Amino acid sequence: MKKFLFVFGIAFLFFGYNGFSQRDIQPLLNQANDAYRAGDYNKAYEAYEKLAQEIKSAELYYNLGNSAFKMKKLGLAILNYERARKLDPRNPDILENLRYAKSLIEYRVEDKRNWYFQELTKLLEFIRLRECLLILLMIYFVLISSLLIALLVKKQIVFGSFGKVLAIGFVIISIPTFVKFHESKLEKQAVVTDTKVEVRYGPSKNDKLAFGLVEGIEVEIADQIDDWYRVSLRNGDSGWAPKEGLSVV
Amino acid sequence: MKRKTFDFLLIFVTAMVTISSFSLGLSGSNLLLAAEAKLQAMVDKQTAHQDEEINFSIRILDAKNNIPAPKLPAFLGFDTFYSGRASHFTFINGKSNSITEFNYVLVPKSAGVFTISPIEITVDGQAYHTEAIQIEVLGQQMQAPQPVQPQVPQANQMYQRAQGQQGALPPVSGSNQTVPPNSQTVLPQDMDSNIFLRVNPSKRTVYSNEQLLLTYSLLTRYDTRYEGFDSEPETSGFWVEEFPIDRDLGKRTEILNDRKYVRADIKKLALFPTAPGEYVIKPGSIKASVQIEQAPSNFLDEFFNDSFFSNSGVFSRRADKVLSAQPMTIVVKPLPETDKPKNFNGTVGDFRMSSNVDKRAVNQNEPVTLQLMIEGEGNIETLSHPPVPELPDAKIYDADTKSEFFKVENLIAGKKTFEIILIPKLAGDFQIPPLEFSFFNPKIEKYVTLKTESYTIRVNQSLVPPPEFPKELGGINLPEKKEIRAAGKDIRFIHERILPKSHALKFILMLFILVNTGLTAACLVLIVKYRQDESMTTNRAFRRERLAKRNAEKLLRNLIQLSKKESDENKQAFFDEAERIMNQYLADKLNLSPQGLTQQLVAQKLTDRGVSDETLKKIEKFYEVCGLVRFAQMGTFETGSQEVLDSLRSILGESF
Repeated sequence: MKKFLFVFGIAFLFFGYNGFSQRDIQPLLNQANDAYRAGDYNKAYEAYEKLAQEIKSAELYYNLGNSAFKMKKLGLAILNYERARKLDPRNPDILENLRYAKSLIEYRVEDKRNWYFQELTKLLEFIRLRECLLILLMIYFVLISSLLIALLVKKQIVFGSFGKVLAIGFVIISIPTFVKFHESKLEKQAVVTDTKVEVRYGPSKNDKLAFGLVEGIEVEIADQIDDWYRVSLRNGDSGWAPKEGLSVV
Repeated sequence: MKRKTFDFLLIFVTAMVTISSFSLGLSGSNLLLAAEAKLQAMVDKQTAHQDEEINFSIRILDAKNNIPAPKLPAFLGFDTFYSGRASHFTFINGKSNSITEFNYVLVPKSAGVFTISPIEITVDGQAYHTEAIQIEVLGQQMQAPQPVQPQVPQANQMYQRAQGQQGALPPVSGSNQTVPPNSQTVLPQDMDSNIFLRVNPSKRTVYSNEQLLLTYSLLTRYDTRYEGFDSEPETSGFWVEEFPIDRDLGKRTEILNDRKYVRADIKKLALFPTAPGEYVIKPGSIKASVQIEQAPSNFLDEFFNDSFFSNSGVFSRRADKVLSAQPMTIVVKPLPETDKPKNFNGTVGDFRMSSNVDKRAVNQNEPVTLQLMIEGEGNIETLSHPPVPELPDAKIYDADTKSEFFKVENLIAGKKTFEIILIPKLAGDFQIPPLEFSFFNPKIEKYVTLKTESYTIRVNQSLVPPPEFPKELGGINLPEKKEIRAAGKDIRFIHERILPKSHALKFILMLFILVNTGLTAACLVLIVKYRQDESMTTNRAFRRERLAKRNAEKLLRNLIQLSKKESDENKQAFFDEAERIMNQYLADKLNLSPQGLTQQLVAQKLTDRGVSDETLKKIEKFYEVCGLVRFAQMGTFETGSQEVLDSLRSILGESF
C-alpha cells in the first residue's frame, strides 16, 4: 500500500510540476495588464506574448486576443481566442469575444458539411480531449470492474444487460474521442492573419488564383509544401495559400 | 267497453242535435232578418294635393255573412294601399245591425280631376255597386304642413328634433319638403304618415358609461313586412351591446293622432358612452315592404286574388320602403369627482358582488381558486375584477372569466365570474385580503364600494414544486419586465489573473489508466486460467498427459530417497518402485491403464506417436535393467540403481 501511494505521489508531482511558477509571472503579468488598461495595446501584446512563450495558459491567450483586437488585428485576435478556447473550451468570456470578433469578419464561410459533422464539431468544441478520454476511461473502468467481479464470483465471463449498455456506451464515446484526438493531434487549424491572402490552385505564384481570403477566416491545413499550405474551407473550397499569411492555432 | 260505446253514442247524438239546431236557427234568422244590405263609398277629402294621402272607405251595412276585402280596380293617377277593415255589430230588440268598413289610402300621383268609378261588391250572393266619387288633385303642396301633435311625448320630442323647426309627426304630405337635406337614406316619396320609424333613446342625458337604451319602433297601418337594416346606425363614442328582442317584436297597437298603428320594436341597442361630451347618434335606416292594392287584370290574377291568396302576400304586389329617423344628440355628463373611491376604474351601473374559495386547506405550492361573481345592470363586457393586492407569499394568476347577459326591464344586465388562482409559497396560515370593487350608481348618483370577505387558508408543508401555468394567464402582481438592451458592443475585459493550472484531470487520467490496465490484466489472467481449467476438466486424457511428467518427478524424489537405504528389502522395493513410476508415466502419457501395460503395447503406441528408436531402446533397456537386478542379481545395487535413475531421468526428459 505504501509503495502504491509512493508511485502515485511521484506521478502527481511529475505531472503537476510547472517550471514557471506563479510568483515568476506575476510582475510581468501586472505590467501587461497595466499597459492594457492604459491603452498601450502593443506593449501589452508583447508582454503577454513573452509570458505565453513560457506557460500555456487560456488567460494569456485570451488577453493576447483582446490586445490584438484593440490593435485592430482581427486575425491575430481570432487566432489567440481560438488558442485560448482549445485550453478552456467553455469559458464564457473567451466564447463571447471569439463570437464577437468573428461577427466582424467581412465575409462568411458557409459550413456545407453534413449536419452530423457540424453538430459533432459543435459538441467537440465544448470539450477537451482529456475530458473525452476521462469519460471513456471511466466507462471502461466500470465495464472491466464488473467483468472482473463476474469472473471472480461466477468464474466465467458474464455480460448482462448492464454490461451490454456499458459496452455500447464505450463504443459510442470512443467515436467522438477518436475524432477529437484526430482533430487535436493530426489536424491543423489556421487563421488568416494577413489582411488578404490569395489562395491558388497550386503551391506557387504561377498557379492560377482560386479565391481570396480575408483576415480572421479559419481554414484547415491539409498538407504543406515548402512555403505553402494546402488549405480547405468548410464550404468545400480548397487551394494553396502562402504560409506567411496564416498562423496555425 | 260497454261504457265507452255508450259515451261515444251520447257525444255523437249531442253533436248532431247541436249542428241541426244551429243550422235551423241560422236559416230562421235569415228568414227573419231578411233585410237589404247597403253599400257606401266615401273619401275624407275630395280635393287634395299631389302625394297627399286620401283615405277612402267602403262601408257595407247590414251584411249577413262574412265579406272578403273587396279588390279595387286600378285607379288611374293613384297609388292605392289597403289599410285594414273595421266591423261593428249591434243587436237591439231582436234587430241586428252590422257595419263593415274597408279602408284604403289613395296617394295621387299627378294633378287633375279623377273619378273613382263604382266598385262592385258581392254581398250575400247579390252584387252591389258604390257610387262614383270625383276627386280633384292639385299640384305639389308648397307650404309647410300643419303640425299634428302626437300622443306619445317621447316620439314628439324626437320628431321635433328630427324635423327641426318645420317638423311634423308624421308627415302628412309633401314629404320632400319636410325631409331635411342631411337625411341621406330617406327618399321623399317614401315618407308616409301610415308607416314610419321611431327611434327612441331612453335618456337624453346620461353619465359616462351609464347605460342608455335606443329602441327602434316601426309604426305602420299597412300590411307590412320588416326586412332588416338598410344602413347601420352610427354610434361613435359608445360601446354598443345588442339588447335581446322579443320573438314577436313586442307588437302592439298604438293610437297616434286618432289613428291606429301597429307598433313593432324591431331593434334595441344598449349604449354605454365611453367619455363625457355631446354625441350625435345617426339611427341609420330600415327596410320594410308593404302590400299594394291592385286590380286583377286577367284570369290568372283573378284566380290568385282569391281570398285564399289575398292575404298571403306571396302573389300580391309589394312596395319597398326605406325608413329613417333623424340624428339625435346625447349629452354625456362626466362622473362626479367628489367621493370618488381610489380603486374606482370607471364602472357605472348597479352591481352586487359575491365570492368564494374552493379550498380552505391546501399543501404548499398548490393552487387555491378564488371565485368572484359580479352581477347587475351595466356594461358587463368591459367589467374587470377588483385589483388583487400584492401578496409576497403567493403567486397569483388570472384563470378564467365567464360572462352571461340577460335583460331586466329596459336595461341590459349580466353576470361576470372571475377565477383568480393563488398559489401559497409558504406553509402556515395564508390570508386572502378582502377585495374592493367600486362603481358609480347613476340611480342614486353616488359611488358604491363593495367588499369581499377575507379568507384564511391553512397551508400544509410540502416539497412539491409550484405548478407552471401557461404564459397567457400571466401573473397579476408582477409588473411587465423589460429586456435589458445593449447600449453598445465591445469585447469583454482581459483576465488579470492566471489561475494556477490544475493537474487533477491529468492525475485522474493516469490513475484510471493504471487501474484499468491492472484490472484488464487481472481479467486476462483469470480468463486464461479458467479456460485451462475448463479444458482440463473436459479432456481427461489431455490432463493425464500434461500432469504425467509432474507426477513422475514427484515419485522420482521418493525413489532417490529409497536408493540411499541399503537394506535388501529396500533394494527390491527400489526397483519395483522404479518400474511402477515408469509404468505410471507411460500409462499417463499414452492414456492407458498401468495394470494392463505390456512392453509390446508401449512400443506400438510410442512408434505410432513417432517417438525415436533411441528413446524406445532406452525404455526397453530400463525395463531390462530392472528385471535383471530384481531376478538375476546383476552387479552391485549401487551401479544398478544409479543406472535406473539415470535412465528414468533421461526418459522423463524426452518429449513425446
